[in-house]
Amino acid sequence: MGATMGNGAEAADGGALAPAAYAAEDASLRDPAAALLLRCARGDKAALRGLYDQEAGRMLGIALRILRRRDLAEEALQQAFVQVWTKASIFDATRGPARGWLHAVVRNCALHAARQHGRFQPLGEQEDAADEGEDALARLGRRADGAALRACLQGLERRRRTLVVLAFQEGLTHADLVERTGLPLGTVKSWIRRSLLSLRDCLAHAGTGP
Amino acid sequence: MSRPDGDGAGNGADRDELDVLAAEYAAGLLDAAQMRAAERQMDADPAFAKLVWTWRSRLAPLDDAAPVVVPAPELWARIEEAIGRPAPTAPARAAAGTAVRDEWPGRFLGERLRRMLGDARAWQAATGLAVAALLLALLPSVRPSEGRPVAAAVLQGADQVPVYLVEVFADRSLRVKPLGAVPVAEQGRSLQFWTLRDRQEGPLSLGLLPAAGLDRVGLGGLPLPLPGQLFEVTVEPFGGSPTGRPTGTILGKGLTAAL
Repeated sequence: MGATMGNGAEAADGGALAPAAYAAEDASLRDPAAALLLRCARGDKAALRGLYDQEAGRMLGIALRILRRRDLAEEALQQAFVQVWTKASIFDATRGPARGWLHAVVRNCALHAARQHGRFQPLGEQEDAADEGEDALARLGRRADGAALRACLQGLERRRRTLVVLAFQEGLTHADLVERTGLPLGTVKSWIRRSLLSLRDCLAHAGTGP
Repeated sequence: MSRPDGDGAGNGADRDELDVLAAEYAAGLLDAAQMRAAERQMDADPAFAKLVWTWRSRLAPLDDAAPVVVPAPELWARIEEAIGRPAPTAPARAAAGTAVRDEWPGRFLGERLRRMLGDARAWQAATGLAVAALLLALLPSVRPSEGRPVAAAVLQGADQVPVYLVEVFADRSLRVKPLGAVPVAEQGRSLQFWTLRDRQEGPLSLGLLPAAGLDRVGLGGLPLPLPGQLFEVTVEPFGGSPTGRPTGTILGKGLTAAL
């Protein structure tokens, strides 16, 4: 037991080991969460704990916006971290920052749970839908990396902006949006579609977005 | 369906529809059935997957600006317990169905390799080039319709018996297939898959290895393996090595050869 790779390297054909000439590690130096994910892929549980300490709070916030129930949101967060652990070796740093990947994982868990359990709107929390769009702009305004998206969202007509923001933040389907806003389904679908395409074109011109 | 945008041949409109679908999936607008369909489409169509990732990046600042809510203190303990359990610890692509069905092609491949190389001594003497030539000769006949691997390694165990075949694809994914009898970890143990690029860096875990092997698992942040890069499977305590380095018996090891 315990033959390590150190002395096992002289394998079948006695070939020399490849020299270490890889640039992959540079990316993870700029992105601490990516470095932790790389360590998770190597089975380092302390790295998962590190990610949890850094990111779980915001991930729970994302899940709560979608699920509205604390117990379901925490369940989604738990599933998300299990997936982060098992899929860490799949994470591709060239596709974007690690935090975005973590958010995509928890978002996916929360959305699947929302589709399964249905939406839950606690009484007394029916905030004015119209404010959601403006609140989102304000929050984006406080972040440097939100500038382009904020500018492009501002370019949308107010009610369409609200639709997009609500849909994203709360994980609402077209049918949910109909209930939430009272707009007809056809209107919801076409407003969403045109707003998304308009955002895409605006972000392309902004030069900072993809 | 003619529009002035796109390439003017009506394809612009089709691309827009696909882009909108990708956006709606990334934005969480789809219902359960639509989500599952979109996820299948991401698996099948890399161009669509790319559209989805692009949309996720565009909308990411909204999630970055989400409020922070502190989880209940016992949540971490539940996560730790969950990852300690057997469960599907391999990345999602390791299909449950491959366990038994692939055994025959794997055994077939192993047998052909053995016959072509003769006895164990011949295996020992085989150079990387010889193994590569064999693999080139054999692989197209196994799965001709898929993308060809760019490199492969045969992991050999005791007496140089070939135990696993590792195939590396241009999209930086790996397939690991048992050759011959399928090694199954005994109770309380897990099989773990490693690579070693540089002695100073040390072994890197590529995750736990289910009995059926791994099918098109991404390399994550790691670059394509160079020729002569070492891959290894070891037998570890349940859930994987507690130290982040191999601690157990080597089930099989080998170096990659370019194909």
